[in-house]
Amino acid sequence: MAEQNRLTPDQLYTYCDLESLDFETTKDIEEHQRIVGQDRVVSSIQFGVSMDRDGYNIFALGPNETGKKELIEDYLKKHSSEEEVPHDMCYVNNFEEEYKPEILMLPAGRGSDLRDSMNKLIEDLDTTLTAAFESEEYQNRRQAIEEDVQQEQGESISDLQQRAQEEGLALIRTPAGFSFAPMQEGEIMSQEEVQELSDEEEERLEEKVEEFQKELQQVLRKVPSRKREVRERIRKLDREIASYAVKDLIDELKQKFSNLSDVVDFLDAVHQDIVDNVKSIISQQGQNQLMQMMQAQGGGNGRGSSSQEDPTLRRYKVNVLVDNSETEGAPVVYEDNPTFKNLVGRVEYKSQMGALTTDFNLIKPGALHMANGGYLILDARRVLMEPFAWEGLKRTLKSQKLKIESPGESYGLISTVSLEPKPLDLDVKVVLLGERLLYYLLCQYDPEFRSLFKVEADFDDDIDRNEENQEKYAQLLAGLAGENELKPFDKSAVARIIERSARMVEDSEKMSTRNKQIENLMQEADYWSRENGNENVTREDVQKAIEQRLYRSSRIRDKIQEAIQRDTLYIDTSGEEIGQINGLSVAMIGDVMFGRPNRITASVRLGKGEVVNIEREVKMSGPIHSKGVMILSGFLGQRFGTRQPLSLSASLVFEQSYSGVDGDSASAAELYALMSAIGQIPINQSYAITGSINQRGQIQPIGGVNQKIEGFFDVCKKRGLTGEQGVLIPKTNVKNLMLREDVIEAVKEEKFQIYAIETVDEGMEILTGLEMGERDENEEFPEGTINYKVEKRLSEMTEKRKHFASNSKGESESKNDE
Amino acid sequence: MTSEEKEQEKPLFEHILVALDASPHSMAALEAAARLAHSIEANIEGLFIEDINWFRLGPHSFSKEVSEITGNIRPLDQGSIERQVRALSKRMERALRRVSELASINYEFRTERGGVESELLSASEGADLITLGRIGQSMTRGPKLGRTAKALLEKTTKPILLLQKGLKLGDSIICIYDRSEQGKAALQVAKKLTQQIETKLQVVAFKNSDEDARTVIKQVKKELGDLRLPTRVFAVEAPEAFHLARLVTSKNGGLLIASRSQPLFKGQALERILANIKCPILLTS
Repeated sequence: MAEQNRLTPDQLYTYCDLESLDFETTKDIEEHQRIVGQDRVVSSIQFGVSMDRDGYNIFALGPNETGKKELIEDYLKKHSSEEEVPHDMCYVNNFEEEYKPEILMLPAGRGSDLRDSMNKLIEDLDTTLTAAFESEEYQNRRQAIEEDVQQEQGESISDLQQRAQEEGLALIRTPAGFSFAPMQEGEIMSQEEVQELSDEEEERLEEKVEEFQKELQQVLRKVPSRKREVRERIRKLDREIASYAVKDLIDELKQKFSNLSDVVDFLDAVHQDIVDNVKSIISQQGQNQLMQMMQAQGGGNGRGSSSQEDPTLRRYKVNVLVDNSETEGAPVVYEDNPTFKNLVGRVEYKSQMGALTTDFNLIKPGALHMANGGYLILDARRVLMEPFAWEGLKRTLKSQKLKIESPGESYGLISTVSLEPKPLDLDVKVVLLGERLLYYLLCQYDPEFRSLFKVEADFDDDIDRNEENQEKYAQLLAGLAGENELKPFDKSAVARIIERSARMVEDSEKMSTRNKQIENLMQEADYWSRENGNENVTREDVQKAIEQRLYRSSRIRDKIQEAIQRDTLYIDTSGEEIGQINGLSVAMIGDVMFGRPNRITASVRLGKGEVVNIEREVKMSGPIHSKGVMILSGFLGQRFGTRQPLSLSASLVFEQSYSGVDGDSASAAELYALMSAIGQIPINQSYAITGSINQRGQIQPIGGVNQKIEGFFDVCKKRGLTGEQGVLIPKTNVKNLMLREDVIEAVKEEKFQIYAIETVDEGMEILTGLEMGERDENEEFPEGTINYKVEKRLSEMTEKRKHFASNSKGESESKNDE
Repeated sequence: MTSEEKEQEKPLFEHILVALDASPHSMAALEAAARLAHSIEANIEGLFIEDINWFRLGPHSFSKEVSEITGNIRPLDQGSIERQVRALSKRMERALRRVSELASINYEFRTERGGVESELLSASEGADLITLGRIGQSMTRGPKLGRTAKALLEKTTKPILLLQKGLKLGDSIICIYDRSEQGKAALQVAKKLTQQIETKLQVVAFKNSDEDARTVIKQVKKELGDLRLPTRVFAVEAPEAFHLARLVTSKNGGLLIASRSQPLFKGQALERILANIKCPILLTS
């Protein structure tokens, strides 16, 4: 029986056939892959990208380190390169409602063109307007207007003054106005001189003074309206000059952008605004020159540049939020810090004279702006962790409008005068990357999620290891080597990586999709290759990288191994014991998984047929482990409890276990220990066993089979391989075997055995060297078989229990009689 | 220290006279005087002249005043004149105090009753520099130069700083050099002021021809001697008044210094410069 269960060395490891690899090194591979074997994902992404309906955004779910981002980015870039380049997006001033900046959408490249043209216009305005307003023509016309109106007033007063003089009166300016006084020989008459005048003369002067005062009153009362008139006429002149001065500049731009009606409208608005605000533009320029002069004299350090920005001229600038002049195809944007502001954009403020101010030039784009017309890739976990980001993203996707507002404003917490940029019509496909758990939680708890992310791209953990996929895998490795600027990997190195990839997923028929881990392995192999001075990366370099990585992470594993060698942890690897067996467990610490043997013991006593799981009693047993122990009770009951009640109580324990135990992979071992204890049958301690059982006695597959075998092998190897030692594994786990080279060598040399078993009986026979035995025509097990011994012991226990029960009953009846 | 060195050390203007009235130009003159006084460590004297003609108005039975702002006519007697003048005087004094304290300079306020021109002429004798608004409280806006300023330019040889509302004293000095002795004197004033303020100096020298340009520049440099401050000399053919004003503006002139004997700074030409220039003018003898 044992021989037919023993595995041959070639069953322990599935090598990658070098003949199947049609290259010498990865350098020879021209075609590079990003996605291998993920047909479902590729199909989902293709569908999501092509589906031009609301809500068909993509959620790419799957384990980390599969390189989801790179795979999707790569796919989208390839796909988007054939798509149309989206328009540039600009914000410009809204001259009618300044707090609501307008959007200009221009063909790619024209945005920056318009921005540069407007900056040039602003620069030219300075010289153009200065020249126009300093021209002799303007100065003369302005002076003429001022003098025209003032001359009238001046003439009126001069005329009045003249006539008053002729009448012997002087017009005097007093501290608060004007007065008329009688004159004599060019001098004001004194009181005495006036008194000497005749009454007639005095009366005449009085009448004249009254007359002139009234005239003067009329003249002075016209002053305000004259001033208004002057202002109005000068304003008209300014507008005429400004309009004429900038017309050429504006017309030139209108010609340049004549095919873009929005730009032409904007330029018309700018023209009108320059004409309306020409005085403030000129006076600001004057102030700037003065400030520059003062800074130059005061050793200014250039910090004055912001002060030189004329607020009026800033209004003519163009804020290009999205410049697609260099973009090829549709944009593919990955935002690695998806805060609310980084997603939807923000309005910045600057401090001026202690107050915060803003304008459309301070509108900054978010990732959604940058990706508009293309694709935006986001990490779901990061989006969910950023305050307001998830809600902001959903709101935007739902409304298809991108509105820039701060969270404070949108939640009504802050109410301040700010900008309300006109919302942008959004056309973006969002791809969220996340773990499966996140996806399922969002499906469960966010009612809007399913309607916004209708495409599920589920990344598989592994792919089939067939010839075609192996070839593609080599292309993937060639691509990774190129991207990471690694040395070429020769075919033996590629084969080793493929084999390692199979080991990573614990399946000789599969390969891992965790490309990041493969990439790390390649980088490390490249390092060791350089250390070894190899031209190409070889199988040995890859092996070295694997071993070194394991070595760096194996402190705890080695400590446990050491404890076993020093008999701190009791593990027998030879001899026979009753009710004692070597189980196998795996531990995952950090990113390293290792196996170790555990001593499992069973003890029996008279009882009611229950099996006590000591781990469970002290709450160190996980539910699956407890389930496994209960299943073995079921198996015992089915096999031995149909003819008599099971009159035993059994205790099972993981010896020297100081932390929790879970999983059912030790249930077979526990059953063997129990049967050994019941039947008083010694178990060969050279073996360790792993496997779970069902109630019918079949051995079911378990996880971590490679690590478990290697864990026991290491213990035996350090103590010296006897040739007797080995491990029993479920037959269904044979396809998972990708064992270490030294284990395979030991098996080859018959120093170590690995048995694959399908039933409890097969294992028990190997462990005890006895036959299991089947019921004969009398429903009895043959004498000397395991079943016979177990059943016999159980019968004895039943009898004892009966006897004990009747004695107890007799005693209690006699007590009653008494 | 030689007498020449002592002369160098001596401030150019120790005592600045500011003619005060209620006009905005006069206030500009006051502020400029204070700034200049601060720069060259001079003191200022504010002179408010109570026009004798005001006190002759009151006694007549028909004396009335027409308000400049509203045009209303109100009776005018001796008492109201006195009150107005007192109020005006106090306002002038307050303005002088405020400006002087801000500039941290010594000041003196004085009132004199009499004829405006004669009192100003008399006060100017003790001053090194006279600062006044280029027009006073003129009733019309025709000429740019007021009657008092004209009279002072004619009757005194003291340097006069002409200012007007809206034009502030800047730091860059521009001097007109026309080769005359008075032009040389103006250049020396400019040089000394440049040294005291520690600013830069630009000299607009009048050349006779292109060939003459180097000669006149050489002359200027010789006149300036050891001036160790940024200096630039431009040789131009004597421009028309309007263009001279433009030239000074284009050079960001903060103060124009010239001799009043130069024909461009007389009569109509001076009026034209005043109409177009953007900085104060210091006219030397």
